[in-house]
Parts: sequence; structure tokens; C-alpha cells
Amino acid sequence: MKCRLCGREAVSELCKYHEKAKRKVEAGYRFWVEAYGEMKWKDYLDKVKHNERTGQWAKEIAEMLEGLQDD
Amino acid sequence: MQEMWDQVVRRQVSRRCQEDRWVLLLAETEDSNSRAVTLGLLGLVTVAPGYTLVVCEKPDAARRVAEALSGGGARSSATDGVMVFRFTSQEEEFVVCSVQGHVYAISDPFEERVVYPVFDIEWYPSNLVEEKNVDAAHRIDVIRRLAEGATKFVNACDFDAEGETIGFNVLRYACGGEETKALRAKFPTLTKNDVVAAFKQAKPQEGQGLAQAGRARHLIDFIWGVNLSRVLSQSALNSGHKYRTISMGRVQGPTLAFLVERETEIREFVPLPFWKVSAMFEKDGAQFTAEYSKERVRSKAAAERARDDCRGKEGVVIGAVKSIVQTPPPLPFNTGDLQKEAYRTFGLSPSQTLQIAERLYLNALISYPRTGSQRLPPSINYKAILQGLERFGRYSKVARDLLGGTLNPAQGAKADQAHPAVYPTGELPRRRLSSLETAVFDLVARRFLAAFGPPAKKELVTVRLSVGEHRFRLSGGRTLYEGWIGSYGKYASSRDTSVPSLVEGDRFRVVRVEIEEKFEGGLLRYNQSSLLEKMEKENIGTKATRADIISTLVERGYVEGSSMRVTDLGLAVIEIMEKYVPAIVTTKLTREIEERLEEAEGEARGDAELVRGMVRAIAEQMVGLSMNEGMVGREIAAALATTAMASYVLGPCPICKSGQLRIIKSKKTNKRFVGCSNYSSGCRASAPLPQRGTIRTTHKACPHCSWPVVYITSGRTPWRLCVNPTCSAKRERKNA
Repeated sequence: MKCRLCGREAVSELCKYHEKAKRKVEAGYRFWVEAYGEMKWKDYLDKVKHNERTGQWAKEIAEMLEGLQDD
Repeated sequence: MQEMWDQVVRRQVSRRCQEDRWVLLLAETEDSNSRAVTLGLLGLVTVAPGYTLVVCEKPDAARRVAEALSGGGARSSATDGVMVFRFTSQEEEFVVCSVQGHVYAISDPFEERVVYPVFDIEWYPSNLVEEKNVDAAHRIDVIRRLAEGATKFVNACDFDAEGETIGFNVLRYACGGEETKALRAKFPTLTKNDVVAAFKQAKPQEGQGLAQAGRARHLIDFIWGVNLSRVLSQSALNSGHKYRTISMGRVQGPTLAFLVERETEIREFVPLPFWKVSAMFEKDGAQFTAEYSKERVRSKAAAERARDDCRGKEGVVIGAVKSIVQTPPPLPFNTGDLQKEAYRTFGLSPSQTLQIAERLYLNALISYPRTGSQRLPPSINYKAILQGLERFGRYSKVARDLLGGTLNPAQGAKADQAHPAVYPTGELPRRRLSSLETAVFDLVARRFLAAFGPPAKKELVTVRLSVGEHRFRLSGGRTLYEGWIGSYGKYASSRDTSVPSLVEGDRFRVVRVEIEEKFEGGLLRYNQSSLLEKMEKENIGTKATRADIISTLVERGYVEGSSMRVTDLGLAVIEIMEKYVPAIVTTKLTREIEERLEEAEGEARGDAELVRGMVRAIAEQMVGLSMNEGMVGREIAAALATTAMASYVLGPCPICKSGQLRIIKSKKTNKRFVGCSNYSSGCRASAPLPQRGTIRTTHKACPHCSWPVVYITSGRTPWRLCVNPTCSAKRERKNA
């Protein structure tokens, strides 16, 4: 199976790099909610995606999750 | 499979250890007339057999040695590109020649790069190994003929493992087995005094530990590199990708693994927000800003509460502490420290610094630059060096001041048996130095002067203020006594930050409180300097090889840019190694080899035992890789394709928002330009590009127009360019 984001070998739908980045994006949400008091998942993904300090794979994951949300 | 490998290893290694077969080969092809021809060309026909042949590593070193020993009366002549000096000193005839680096290299008897595993390797004349080393044949030929008339030999190559290896091989192979009888002249600098003293004390090398270790290192690294690289390159070729060298060396693997580990952390990184709170205080017109005692406030609500609580209130000084700290002088330079400091101050890569330092050494301006030592022994004669530096206008005052006191330089913990730390010789340059040579020389000279300086003294002040329950902090410092900082000049990084004079109980009005949203930055990528530091810390590679290994990673396309961003190819290579041969990319194995080689430097044992053990280790590792050749090839081919793709994809299209801007070459005009991948869907975003130079993506968008920013390398300094021809920033600059 290929990673849906980069085409690398994947365990399920993502490669090991994007899988780990996904876990980090998901884990980061709790901290952002605590930091801002309130934040919707979609807004969080948008902010992470546009933050210049976010890593490339984390950005790709945020974009993917945002797309899933729209679907 | 394992048995087969064992057999191959046993057979090939035992053959390797039996003899140096090509020495015999050379003897068979000896041309009996050759000596007379060469001697005639060199004008040596008048020199009766019985002279001392001195073998140096580089032509400039040979010239310096000849000048020093002859007192300037050496006659020079050249043939086949080899400069030879001859002179008589104290009724002894001398002939001094140089080899210009390695004239012997390791290779395998197979001419095709598809063959592996390879364990049957030998030292060959370099010209038979690499076409570009065609001159090696001439140099070997000349030295061999000169050796015939010599009755005494002196190895005057650089005194380190590489120099020992070069001298050992030349004396063994070109001079007919003189490596054990030859005298060894060891000099830390190429100044007259050091060279003359070295020749007076020259004696045969005992044990040849450095040379044996140096030769073993070459053998091990060749076996390691050639086998792994051939498996990887060949696997990719067999998977349908055109041939490309995918190298993997003993030190290269773990070094790339450091970069990959850091790269994956950076690419996975999710920044966390925090807030910075600061307050401006005022009293009688005097204002100062203090930072909140918590550097990072983790919630917006807490930051806003601090701001609201402090607004319009009064702050009181609850503590003011002064302390005096001493900063000791910097340690003398070893190779790595010099490379890191030259990177910090001039932006020079480690390999550039080493090349420049090498030139300064050959001009007798600094001591031998490949050293692990941070120590300056009194035997280098501090006083004479400082007296020499006193003649340079820019160092004269500092040198004079130091000469008036006791000379005790700062000494580091790292020592090197072969050489002291890098230091200036005190000699004036005989030619005009380039700007970079001047810069590196200045750095070495000032570091040397600074090492003798007294500690600098600085007063640090920390003031704590309270606004209700909230605490603020103000800190700064001022230099009380410059000490060594004055000697180190512009290279010292010491900045004073003034703090108003405050005492406990002072009260101030809070004028303004500001909160600023920030995000954690995560890890920084390695640059060439920090990577070098990491290699030193992990004890992999040597002072002589680390810089080249870093350059190779760039050349192979495993990393790109000054920030050493790892490419998909670099990621794939490490991924494959970790999957099939994990030991190859761990520091453990390569560090063990390094330690054994270091031990061998001080011992008298031959290289066979060491090499045999390492061959077994690499053979064991290669089994896993070979058995999965098909899979390895497919993974590398895929990574090569995505790396190639990434090199011309510049970034997201700001016009259609869904396509990618790419570098496209026009079939009609053959010119390159930027176009969108959604052209067929109607996106007409396009931009011209410079037609000269290399274009590399920065992975960043222009802050003004969101079009991609690229690096253009044309000439020496790369420059950044927003590819959008109508970028507002460009217009503003033009109007200004």
C-alpha cells in the first residue's frame, strides 16, 4: 500500500512519517485548546497549516484532515 | 548464504595479506634505461650515487625543506611535472622531491563497477585507479629512478596518519622497500628552525603504528564504501533507473542518519503557542522595559490577566543582585574548533577552511592545521612567535604587551600525540595573501594572542520587580575588564546591556503592558559547522576527513542548501539502511572501528588483523542488503524520481491555489520559465527566470505576494529571488 500523501510504502493509508506527523497534529490540538481557551478542530487545522513553523509533513496532514472535515 | 560469504571473505582476505603483488609487477616492468634518462633530465648526472633522498608530501613543502636545509642554495629542476631540489649540506648530498598527495590508491582488480562483493583489494598507483590522476605515474616513475641512486631516505611527509600513509607507500613501493629503514623528519611548522631541528633529530620510525593505522583505515573504508555503494547503485540500475552513484561510507552513513533524524523531527513538528509579557516602567522621565518572570505564558487568558492586573499600577523593586563573572580566554584551535569558528565568523565551510589553512601552513605562516590538540606546549617558543607577530602592525601592541608579562596560554583538555594546537609561526608572508587567506590567518593569530590574555571580567545585574502578584525581571551586564577580548578583537562576542541603577524599594509607574503571541520554533537543521561538532562529539570520522564527508553528502544529493535540508533520496537511503542493515548507520560500529584504529596508531602490529575483523563485520551486514536487492532498488529508484521532481517544483500556485509552480523548459526557445501544473485546466500563472545559474527552491513563499522564492547560484554568492515579476516589494524597491 502507498501513502496517500507522498507515495511512500504505507502501513495503512499513510507512511510511517505521515503517520507520526498525524499523531503529533492530533496531540497538539489539546495544547492549542488549553492555550486559547476555545478552538474548533477546523480552525486549529487551518492555523497549523498556515503557521510558518509547522513542519512540512504536519502541514500536509493538517491539509488532509481539513479536507476530510469538508467531506 | 552466510557460508558463501564467509568463504569469499576468507579466501580474498588471506590472499590480500600474503603479499603486495603489484610491487613484483612493477619490478618486472622496470626499464633499465629509465634511471639514466631521468637523471639526465634532472641535471643529476653530476650527483654521484650516494645521496639522501627526501620525500615530501607537497611541492611547497619540498621547496621549504630544501630552502631550510640548504640555507637558500638549493637548485631546482623539473621533469614530468615533478619539481626536484638538490643541494649539498655539511658534505652530504641531498635530493628533495614531493609526491603531491596520494600516488597510491586502493582498488579492486575488477574493472566493472557492477561487481560486488569485493574483498580482493590492493594498493595500486593512483593513475591506474582514477583517470584524473594520470600524473601519479610520472611522479612515481621519477621517484623510483631517484631512489636508485640514493643510499639514505628521509620521510618528510606531514606527520599524521595520512602523511604517514603517503610516505610509507612511496618508500615501500617506489623506493624498493625502504619504509622501515628510512629516517622520519617530523616538524610542526615549515619554518627554517623547525625543519632543521627535525632533520637533526630524524630517526627510523619504530613500529610504523600511524602508517599501519592509516593504511588500515583506507582499506576498511574502501571495502565498506565500494561494497555498499555498488549494491545500492546497482539495485537502482536494475530497477530501471539510469545509473547514478548512490554512495554509502563508514562515516557517511551515521552522519547522514544524524541529519535524517533531525529532518524528520522538523518535518513532523507542530508548534505550540505561548505568550510573552513585558511591561514598561517609568519614574521621573526615565523609562525601562522588564520581562515577565515566566518567559513563556502558556495560555492567552493568563497573559491577558497579567496585562489587565498590571495596567496603571505601580511596580516595586524587590531585589537587585550584582555579580561579577570571569570569562576565561578561549582555548587554542584544533582543526574542528578552527573550522567552526571560521564558519561562525566568515561563513566558510569546514572543507574551505581546511584548504585555506593548508595553504597558510605551506607558506610557513601557521603550524600544521590537522590536529586534535587544544594545547600549546612551551617547546613551540611562545616568545619567538610573539616577537614575530610584533612585526605585524595590527598585532604589534598586543604582542608587545604580552611579551612584557608571564606567558601562560590557556590549555584545553584535548591533546594530540603528533601535533600541538594550530598557531601562527610569526613569519611574515612572502606573497600577497588572498582575502580569505588573510581572514583565516588573522583568526589563527588573534586566537593565539587571546589564549595568552587574562580572563575578562563582567558585572551582571538582575533586578526583580513586583506588580501585585506578578513578577518581572530585568537583566544586563557590562564589561569591567576586557582581558583577552581585546586581543581576539572582532571575533569575540561580548555585548554590554545597560541596566538602570535600581535599588530595593524603588517604585515605578507601569506605563504599558504588552503581550505578544509566539510559537515554539522547534529544532534547527544542522549547518556544516554544527554537523561537524556532532561528528566530533560522537567520535566518528577524523579531523582530516570530516569536512570531506560533509561535502560528499551535498555532492551525492542527499542534502541541499546551507541549512542541509535532507532530500527524499537522503531519507530513502537511510530508511533502506535501517531496514536491512541497521548496524551500518548506527554510530556504535563505526565508533568502535575508529577507536581500534586510534589504538593501532600507537602499536606496532600490522593492518591485516584489523582489516580482517572489519571485513567480516561488513560481510555480515551485506548479506541482508543483497538478499533484498530488488526491493532496495525499487525504493531507491522511487526516491530518485521524487527528488528529481522536487528539484523543479517551486511551491503552490498563488493564482489557482491548487496547482504547483514548476520550472519548465520551453521546447521552442529552450529557455526556462515558471509555469503552473494546472495549465491544462486553465491556470495561466507564469514568470520568467534567469537563464544562467542553478535554481534551487527555498521551500518558502514571498511574504508580499505568496509566489515562491528561489535561490539562484551564479557566481560565488547565491541570491534569493521572488519569481513573481510584479511582486509589490520589487515595485517598491524600484520606486525607492
